[in-house]
Amino acid sequence: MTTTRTPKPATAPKLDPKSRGQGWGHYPLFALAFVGLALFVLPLLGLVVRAPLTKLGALFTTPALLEALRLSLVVSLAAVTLSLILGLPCAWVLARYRFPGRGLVRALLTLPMVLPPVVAGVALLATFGRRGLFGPAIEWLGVDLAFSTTGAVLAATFVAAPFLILSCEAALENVDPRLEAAAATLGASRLRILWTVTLPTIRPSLLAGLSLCWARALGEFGATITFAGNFQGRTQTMPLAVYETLQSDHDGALLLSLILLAVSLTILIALRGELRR
Amino acid sequence: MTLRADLHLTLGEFTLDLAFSAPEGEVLAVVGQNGAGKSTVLAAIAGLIPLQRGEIVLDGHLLERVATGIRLPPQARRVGVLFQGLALFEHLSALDNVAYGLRARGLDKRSARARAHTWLERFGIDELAQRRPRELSGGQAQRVALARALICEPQALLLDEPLVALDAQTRLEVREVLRETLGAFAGVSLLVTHELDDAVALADHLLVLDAGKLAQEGSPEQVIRAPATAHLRAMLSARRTGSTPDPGT
Repeated sequence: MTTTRTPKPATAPKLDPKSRGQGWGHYPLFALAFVGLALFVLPLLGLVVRAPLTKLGALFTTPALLEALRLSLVVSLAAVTLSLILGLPCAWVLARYRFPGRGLVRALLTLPMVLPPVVAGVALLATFGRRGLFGPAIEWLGVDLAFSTTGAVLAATFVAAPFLILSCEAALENVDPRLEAAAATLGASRLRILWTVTLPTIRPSLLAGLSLCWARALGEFGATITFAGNFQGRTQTMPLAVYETLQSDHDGALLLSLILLAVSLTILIALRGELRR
Repeated sequence: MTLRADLHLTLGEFTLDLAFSAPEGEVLAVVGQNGAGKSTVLAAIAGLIPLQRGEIVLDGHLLERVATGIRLPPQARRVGVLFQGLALFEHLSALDNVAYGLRARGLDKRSARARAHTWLERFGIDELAQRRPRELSGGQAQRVALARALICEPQALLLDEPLVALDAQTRLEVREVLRETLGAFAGVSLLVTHELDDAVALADHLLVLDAGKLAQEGSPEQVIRAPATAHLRAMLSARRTGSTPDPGT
């Protein structure tokens, strides 16, 4: 029983894709790639070099910063949760059902990825703001969306959810239908199949989508400041705090940015293994 | 535990019209070339594709009857399926793959795993219980998939091309495992294959399917003596000139 399940048929040796980029014949491309790399790396270097690290300790005792950091975590995690609860069913419907207008629905769901965030903010304001389309209805319900933490969560969800939806839709479409059929013939209910077969199968894509969604929500600026405003302790998340601090305290803004950079890098490194699978 | 099926359905260009019945303990092979509708037969009996006309009766229980609108879902059919490519759950160990059906039917984890162990023992692979499917050889994976399908004690076992995509050595090994397993199975076995050799080696009765219709029916000997389709004749002549031993006798 040392045989393998998929025997490789004898084929002519293929060119190794890794060997084709070797040699210096493409030096103009190489030079451009180097400039490109510099463009992406230098600003990060500048940020790290110019940030007055000695003042970092003092910054962490500033209530406004701690407040912004806490709010950023709360808002971004709430946005990711909301994206999961609402986005995963969207991905499911798009991946598993063929209906008229599916292309349009898909385009609408992914539009926030390419929409300028400030436009997203204005659109949210025009819809859920006090004088917006559903303003009176929302006021009657007793909730205040615009200029509140809930509004910041809504804004972040609006721009971040598409990353989760797209990544899960592709994965759901690619799940081998035989896996789910096998579970059904073994007696598993639809919900059980979803929970024990489908979701574990798309786990890498789900985690990748979640991390992209979280990163986008954490960095959200335009839609938030437009729709939710810039109120310390209520809607002033880290990016908004950076922007405001920059007006008066250049060093402080550098340090805040450094913290955000560290958080982003941590997300990337933590999910490295999962993203590669 | 007899199986009686009267299957009629159309999927795009393809139409299936097939009626047959099998007594308990019999191994029935559906033979035909790719596109003849063999897998569709299994999917219909398992409840994965709805019939448009006809009925399926297994062990006196009505599984589906279009005329009266009765259609049990796959979950309620007590039909075990060995899927083409096996469709093992890659995120579960061999043990939990086998235990899956018992867990789905409400048995607690501990008892389900205990029974899964006895099934792995029966196939002589209990030491592989903690392996993931991708860490198993073709023959081992086949045993896990068989155990997973049989643990819920189905009344019918459906096997979709169980010997396809295996290398020559594994193929003979798996064929032996299948012969033993099907011989010990009390219910009806329905095996789908495009290889006449495998059908002859494993089945008591052959159904030759061609473009969704029954082209021939009979014992392996009868079919070999007077093959009804060009596909069968081509396979038989290849067998005579080739070096494949005759496993049917």
